[in-house]
Amino acid sequence: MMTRAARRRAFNGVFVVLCSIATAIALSALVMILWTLLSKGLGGLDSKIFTMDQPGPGSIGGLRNAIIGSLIMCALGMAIALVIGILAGTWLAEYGAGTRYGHVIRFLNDVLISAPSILIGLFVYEILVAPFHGFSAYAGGVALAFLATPIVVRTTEDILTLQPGALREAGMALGSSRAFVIRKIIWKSARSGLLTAGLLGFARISGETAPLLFTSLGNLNNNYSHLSQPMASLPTTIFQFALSAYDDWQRLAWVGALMIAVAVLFINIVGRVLARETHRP
Amino acid sequence: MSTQASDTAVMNPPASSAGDEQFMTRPEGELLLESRALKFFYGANESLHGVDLPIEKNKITALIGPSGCGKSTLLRALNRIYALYPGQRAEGEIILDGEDVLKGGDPAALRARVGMVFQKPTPFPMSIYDNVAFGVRLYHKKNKAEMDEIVQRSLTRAALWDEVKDKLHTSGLGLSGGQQQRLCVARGIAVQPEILLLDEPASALDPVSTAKLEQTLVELKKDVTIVIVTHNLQQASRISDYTGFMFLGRMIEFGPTADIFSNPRSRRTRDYVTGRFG
Repeated sequence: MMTRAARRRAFNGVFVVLCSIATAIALSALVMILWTLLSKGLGGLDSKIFTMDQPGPGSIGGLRNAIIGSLIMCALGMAIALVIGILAGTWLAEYGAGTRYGHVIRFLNDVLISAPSILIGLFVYEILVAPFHGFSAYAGGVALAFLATPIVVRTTEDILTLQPGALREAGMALGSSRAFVIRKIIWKSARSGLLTAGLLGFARISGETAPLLFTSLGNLNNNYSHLSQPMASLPTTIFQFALSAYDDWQRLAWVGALMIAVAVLFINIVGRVLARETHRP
Repeated sequence: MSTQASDTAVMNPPASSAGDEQFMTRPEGELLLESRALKFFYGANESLHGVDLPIEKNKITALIGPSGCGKSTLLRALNRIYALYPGQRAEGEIILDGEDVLKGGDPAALRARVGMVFQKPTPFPMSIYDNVAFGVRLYHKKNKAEMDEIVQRSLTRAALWDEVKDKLHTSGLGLSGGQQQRLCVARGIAVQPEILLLDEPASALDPVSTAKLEQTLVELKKDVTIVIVTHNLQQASRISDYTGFMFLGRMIEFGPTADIFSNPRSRRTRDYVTGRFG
């Protein structure tokens, strides 16, 4: 017969094994994704990817127009998201903390963070595509801004809340206004954290496909100077090429997927490192 | 001697027949700032119960008492820094140059006249030079030569100039704790306040830095009136001219520092300064 202590030890052992198995399953999925991307994408990665636009079926080409289109629309989205997100996050941390209105805004922002991106795409389609009778890079950028803004708001609020209250008091004690203290001291003290907020938002939108399908659509040509026209992007190109019947298009889709994965990984690592710098006293 | 009050000491003060009496010896010189019947509230919680504090010009006034007695609260009322937090309010009068600062008025203008240095050093995330110039730039447009002179004079008076004169444009965050605190003093006096409030400025400093800071304060009182909250009774007796002993939100005894430490009139004051409680 088992003693209580032996039973507890046995139970503990079973529990540890179950947790380890679950962790291994989760990790192996990640490893398999990365392995698939590397094995299928790395072979197609050459200089043509960056120097040539996407080809018709059967001809030689690259992903230049999709890469540049993605960068343009992400930059547009982040420009909007950073201005609105940092100001709104600052309001939440500095003025709205503890107020009922602040609670409501924070809750709605959290809802927006988890809103399905296809809904955002449909919404922007309704307000910016349908009324103007055409898909455009502007609409794509706005859709991405809707996705990035709540993340920037949340991260900004978290980072600013971490800044010591004594720093605010010290600024006020010299006779400066609240707004001046925030701009000249608090933002400066939190600057690497604010950069992290931007990077996290950028990482979130760089792989988004659904909102772009409804807004910027895609474009086989390069047309970077015409933001009111449909514009290519990496995710929509991957979507289109991966579903196609052509081997060379499918190869390009794998290369594009690998590039997005590596970019997101890199941005996340930089963001983490910067965040750690901020938290250091 | 204990410098930190334990909670039990606050909750169970020694029995004293004269415990609730209050003794006030008003300064003979000119008063610059005075609180009268000052009450302070954190929400519905009254934490100061009508405190009188007379502050004589060009003297150092020390506030002592066990943790939670209201010293810091009193200090934070004097420049209305509490107004940053909704729910905190003061009642009564705080008279500066004949005017009651609690009756409206611009808190920023008040804080330019009544400077403050905090318990933990709070250098701004900018260069040593910009730290000192920060407050000056809020009020005055100075050319470079004038600003250079103000920065040098402030750092010299805060006894920091010799240590930082070759690295004025490096970050203030790179200084040691003691240097950072003297930088905060320099920043505070650069705007030429009439009064400087210090909230346990030496509690995070080592003895050598503390000695330098104390020396700085004694030299400063030629130009600035100083009010200092301290848990260090020796510090209060070394540098201050007047001392107020507070207990449970009341000013139990106020008078010349020598009297408070060698001949206190309240039994509670005597118990505290001799280390029998608190």
